Amino acid sequence: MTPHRKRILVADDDPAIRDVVRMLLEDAGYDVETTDDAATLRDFPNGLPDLLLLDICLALKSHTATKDLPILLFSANRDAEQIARDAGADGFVAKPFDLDTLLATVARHV
Amino acid sequence: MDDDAPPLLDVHDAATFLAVHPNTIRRWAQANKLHGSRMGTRGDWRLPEKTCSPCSALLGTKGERFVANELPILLDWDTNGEPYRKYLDFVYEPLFDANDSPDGLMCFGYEVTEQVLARQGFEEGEERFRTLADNIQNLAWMANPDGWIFWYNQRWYEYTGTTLEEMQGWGWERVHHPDHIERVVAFVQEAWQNGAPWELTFPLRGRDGQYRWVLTRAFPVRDQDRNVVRWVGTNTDITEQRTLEQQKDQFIGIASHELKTPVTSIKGYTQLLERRFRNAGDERASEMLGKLDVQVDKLTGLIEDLLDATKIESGNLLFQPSLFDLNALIGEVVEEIQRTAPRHTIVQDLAPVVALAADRDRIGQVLTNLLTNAIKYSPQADRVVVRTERRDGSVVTSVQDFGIGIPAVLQPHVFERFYRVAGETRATYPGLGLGLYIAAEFVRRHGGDIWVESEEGTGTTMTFSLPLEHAHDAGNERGGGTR
Repeated sequence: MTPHRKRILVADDDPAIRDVVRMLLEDAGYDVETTDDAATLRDFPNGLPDLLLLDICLALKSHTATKDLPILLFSANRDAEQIARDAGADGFVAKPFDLDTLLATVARHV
Repeated sequence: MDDDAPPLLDVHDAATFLAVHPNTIRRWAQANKLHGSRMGTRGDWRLPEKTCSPCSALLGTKGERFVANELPILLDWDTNGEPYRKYLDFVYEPLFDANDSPDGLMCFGYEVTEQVLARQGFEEGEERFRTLADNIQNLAWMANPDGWIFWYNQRWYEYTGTTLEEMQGWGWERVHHPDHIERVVAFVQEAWQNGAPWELTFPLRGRDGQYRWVLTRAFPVRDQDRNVVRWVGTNTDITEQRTLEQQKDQFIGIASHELKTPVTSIKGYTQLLERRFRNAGDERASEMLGKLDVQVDKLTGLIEDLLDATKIESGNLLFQPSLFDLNALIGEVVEEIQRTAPRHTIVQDLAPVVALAADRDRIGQVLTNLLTNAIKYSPQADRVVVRTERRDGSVVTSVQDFGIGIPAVLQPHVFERFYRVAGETRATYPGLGLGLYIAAEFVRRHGGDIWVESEEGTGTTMTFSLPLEHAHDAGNERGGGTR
């Protein structure tokens, strides 16, 4: 266990996906905050996380505050990889996701 | 009517000039074997009034030659009492005495009924053709063997708001969409050369400036020597069908995308539980959840197939080419499928390392679809063989099973969308009928080819070839939006 637990912010429209991803990541030793509110991603009221898992593309990479944040696109689109690349995200996790893939991808970027 | 029927000839003196004498007609009719039961009993013959007046007029005046063409004569001698119509060409030739005064009339008549009826039949046919051609909902056209259009029906002019002068020959190009004209021209140029019936869809501009999609069907009319003498074509408005088709594809697209959301959380919870039970040492529960996870993956596969079919149809298929080792890919796919198909042994007979520039995921999907198909349709067999070989700048991959086989008549259909081979003894084999369709489309859009060899009861071999040299050109090609 790392001395300081990494914090991951998960933004997703679907409450069930937020719920299950939170539990999966918490089981894997991360602190998890979830949201479906775009404002959270603008203001970060709880401070900046160590990694963002987003179901939408946001121009976060162009903001000074968030440009160094690792961002993973969490998408059901078959072309998620392409979309993630185009949006300047650091990586992607395709939905429906394989748990090992999710954990490996998060671990690689956090 | 006999061809050698004698002409009608009569000579009148001045006193009887008014018309052809009844006896003359009778004699003529008898000679021509036109006997009727009532012939002669009532003297039932008549000439239209107008023939008499010019006769009298010409004789009453200077006496000029008078010619009457195709003069109808009604002869009431038919046993049903129906007037019997004959046509004669008449020449009334005045006769003159020594003082150049008209003193008689020579009448020469020749029957032309057959010619007249033939021409009327032709005109009627022509009229019927025009009525049909101008009143159908389709636009219609006719062209010379080289494609020079010489006729359009009325609907064409109404729809396009053009005239024959503007449209004849190659004028149609003006009512085509600039984005499509090149494709259409290239296609029809080949079609005229080819001489085979053809079909094509394209947008066509209406008089209101709006484009509507039409389906053109053309077929060649040939002479006895099989030479094309002209082309006949129709254009059918398919805008409505296209819209519905697009709505259907859109719907399937949205529906499958929406289905992915709950499937994602179901798979998530399944994996969460599987892991928790495993960590708690409950092997049985963990195993069951593993099986549930496999089923969720199958469900995901079906949804992905629907999405892929929709993308193929709408032309939104994107390829992400990369250079990869085909044998390694085959190894991965085989390993994964072997896990779910323990009854079959998947044998690999592969040519030495082949580097392929293509969309690795999509080619993997092709292999997956062919392999799952081979296993599905060979339930009694215990073996499936994957082979690769290099052949003329291509790599040829085949998947052979030893199953039920496909009857020859059905083989041409196996790569069609929604096509499924029905089982004989058991219920139909499960699936959406999309696997081979998707595989075939992926292969073709990589510039490759796919085919099937099969014998009933012996087994099936599905083979696809991919070009090695040009494979990198297949990148990000958008599929044709039209078929």
